[in-house]
Amino acid sequence: MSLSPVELARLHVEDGLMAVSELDEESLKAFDPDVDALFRATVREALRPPVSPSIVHDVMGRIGTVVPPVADAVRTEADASASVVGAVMDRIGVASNPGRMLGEAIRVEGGELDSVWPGVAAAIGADVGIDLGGLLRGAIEEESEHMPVGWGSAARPRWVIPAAAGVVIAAAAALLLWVSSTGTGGSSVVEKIAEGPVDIEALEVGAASAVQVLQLGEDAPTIILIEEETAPVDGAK
Amino acid sequence: MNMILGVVLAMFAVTSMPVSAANGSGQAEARDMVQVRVWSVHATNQKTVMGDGLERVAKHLKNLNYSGFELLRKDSAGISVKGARRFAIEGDRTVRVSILSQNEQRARVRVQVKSEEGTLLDTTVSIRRNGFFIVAGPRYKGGILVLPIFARY
Repeated sequence: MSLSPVELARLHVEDGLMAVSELDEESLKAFDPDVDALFRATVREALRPPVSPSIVHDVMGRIGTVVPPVADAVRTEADASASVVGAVMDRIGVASNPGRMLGEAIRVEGGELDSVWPGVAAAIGADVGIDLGGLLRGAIEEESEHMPVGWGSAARPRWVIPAAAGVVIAAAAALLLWVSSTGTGGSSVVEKIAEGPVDIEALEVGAASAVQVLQLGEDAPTIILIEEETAPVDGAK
Repeated sequence: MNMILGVVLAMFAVTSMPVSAANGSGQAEARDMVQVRVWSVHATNQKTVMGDGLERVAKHLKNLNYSGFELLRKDSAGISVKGARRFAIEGDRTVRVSILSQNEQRARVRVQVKSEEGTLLDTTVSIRRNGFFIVAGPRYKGGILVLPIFARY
């Protein structure tokens, strides 16, 4: 069976291999592409099977919920004398603790690390074999001025405590005497004032003042009395 | 016994300290220094009491014609020979004390009392060692100021 050019072009258009604009006039007169498309859609719709209702919910509702007995199956299958973990480890061929194996694997992978202290010591000019702990302790003791105390080990001279008490008492007495001698009220007690006149070598007063010199006894102090003229001042008796 | 010995030794040590300090260089330094004290006393007739701290000079203050005396302040300073010190006292007045010279018996002291208006007094006196004299008269609060001036060395 052979197809005519018009029939071949019609099939190409229906299959999408050719556009309608590519058809020649003879083909356009022989058939209508829109009618063909509508016909195909009608046939496809007619051949579409009807929607079947789902029976899953009805079946499950009828038979109820079933829990798969996986745990029971594992326990039945596994050896009662061995744990499940052991059975699994045996199955995969691992006998030792996987955590320890992991640590060993990391150490093997990292390899042996060399100490960095020799490099640091060389950089700061220190001796590689120096005792750092002793060096730190010595520095701390020196900074804190640490003085080791031997409790009860040293014999204290018997006269130290009485002598120290004596020193404290004497110091307190001396301090009391010193305080009393420097107080405002105590000066008259300690100090001795030599009474008597003074020799006046020069005496000048301001223009607005007058002056009197009072000597009221051989042992009395000299009194220089200023009399301001703006306000008369009572003099001596 | 030991305690008594300790007390005695300590007392000896403490009491000997001023003596030892006065010897040597300290003695020479103290010899050139005069401790000058200026008391400010308010004399007034509005009161009839002798104030505290004036016991040493009370009998001399009573020679002044005032009935009440009050110690207002005490100023002191160590002044070396050829040195001077100015004391500010009540009533906006100043007392300038200069040590001109000194010997074992006396010290020559110049005292200048000044107010805002000018010099009230300028005197040079020779004070016996550890002696004093009195400057009185500047008006103050209805009375006068009395200034006992001590020279101790």
